Amino acid sequence: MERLFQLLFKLRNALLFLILEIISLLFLFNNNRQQQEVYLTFVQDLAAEAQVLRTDFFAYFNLRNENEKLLYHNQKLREAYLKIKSELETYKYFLPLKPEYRLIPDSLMPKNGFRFIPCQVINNTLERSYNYLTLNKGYKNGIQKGMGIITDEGVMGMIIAVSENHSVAMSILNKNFRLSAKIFGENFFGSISWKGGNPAYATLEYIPLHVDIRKGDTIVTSGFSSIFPEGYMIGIIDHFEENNEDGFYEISVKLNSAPGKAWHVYALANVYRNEIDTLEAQTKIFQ
Amino acid sequence: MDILLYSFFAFIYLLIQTTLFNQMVLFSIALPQVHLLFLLMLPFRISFTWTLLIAFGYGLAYDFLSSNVAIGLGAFSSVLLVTLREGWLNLAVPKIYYDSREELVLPSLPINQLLLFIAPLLFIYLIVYYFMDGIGNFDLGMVLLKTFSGFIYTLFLSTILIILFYSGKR
Repeated sequence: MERLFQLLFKLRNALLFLILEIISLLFLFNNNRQQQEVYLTFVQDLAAEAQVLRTDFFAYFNLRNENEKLLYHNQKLREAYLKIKSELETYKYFLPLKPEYRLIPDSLMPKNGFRFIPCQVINNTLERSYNYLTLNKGYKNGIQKGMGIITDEGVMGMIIAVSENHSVAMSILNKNFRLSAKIFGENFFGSISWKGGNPAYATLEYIPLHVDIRKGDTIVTSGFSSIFPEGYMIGIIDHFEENNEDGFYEISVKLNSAPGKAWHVYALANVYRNEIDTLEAQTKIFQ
Repeated sequence: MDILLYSFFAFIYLLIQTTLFNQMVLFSIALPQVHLLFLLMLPFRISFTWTLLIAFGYGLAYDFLSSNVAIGLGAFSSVLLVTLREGWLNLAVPKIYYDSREELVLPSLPINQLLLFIAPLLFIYLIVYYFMDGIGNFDLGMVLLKTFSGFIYTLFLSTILIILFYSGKR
């Protein structure tokens, strides 16, 4: 305490100077309207700044709660988005040139109607010769073995195993995966498969040499199965070679889908699949 | 005795300033603030604490006695003036003129040395005074014009007063 007094005594002149100047300023601002207006504006600005600082300070400590709220709202929005997207998919055209494949509700479903079941990829291999995807939906959600898997960009694979809540799909990047495909606008069909190597390219075979093909032509699904509808995007021709021995092209197709980046996919439920399978089994034509 | 004497001097300075010099404004701009000579010439033997209090009271009295002067303006500038005066002494007045600051008698300095001491302080006082006066309706050109014209006018009249009334002590 004594030291404090000693310090104050040492600083008495500086303190007195400050006190007298402050008193002078108070006189100035309280008795003169011109200066008072500036003073009040300054004080108000200062108070506003202090309020902003105070708000920012407390907001910082409240960030955790705000973040949790945002996550909750984000989840709700995602759910709503997926629901709306799924509903929209039900009504959209696959390709503009094929309006008969428009997907509409069950009551008005045409023969080749497909229903979309949104799924999330929870595991995905890319580096192997036989790659697979694991999805977060199972038979409880309507997933069945043999359903096609697509993304917004293109074909992804086919369901090969289903449990109650999960399913496994064979990726398009699997050497065993084969898919009937055609060149968009042409009526010649071939078989597309991945030969290993670069995951961005697959090979389309059995397109006859007399067909006029060009680099950049679009390859789509042929619709020759109950797995994928006709005309769904697979990729584009990157380059091709003529094989004169067997009379077919060997076409390298740049895949439109990117399996490594796909997290949200759709399983394609063909509502007439059982009917088609039963009919084909009875006739034994395709067995 | 000293208190009575300085109070009398202060009264005389303020009386002359408010009745005479405040009426001698040139071109409605240049105001001679000769009353500052009282603060500038205060002996250094008076403690700084007292000097501050005297400056505050003197400046406030000037504000109240003068018409058209914002109350507090003179007090603020006067307190600043005597504070700067303390430090400026060491820089402006060579040690050859005094042994200790308490013994320094300002009127005993040569006139050029005395003017060198008071002129910068006077200028700072005036620029602060007119700057504070202009708050709310600030016009830099007018502040500088009033400062420079007032400075020259005040310095001129102060020099005459010093020669007339302080020469006997030199």
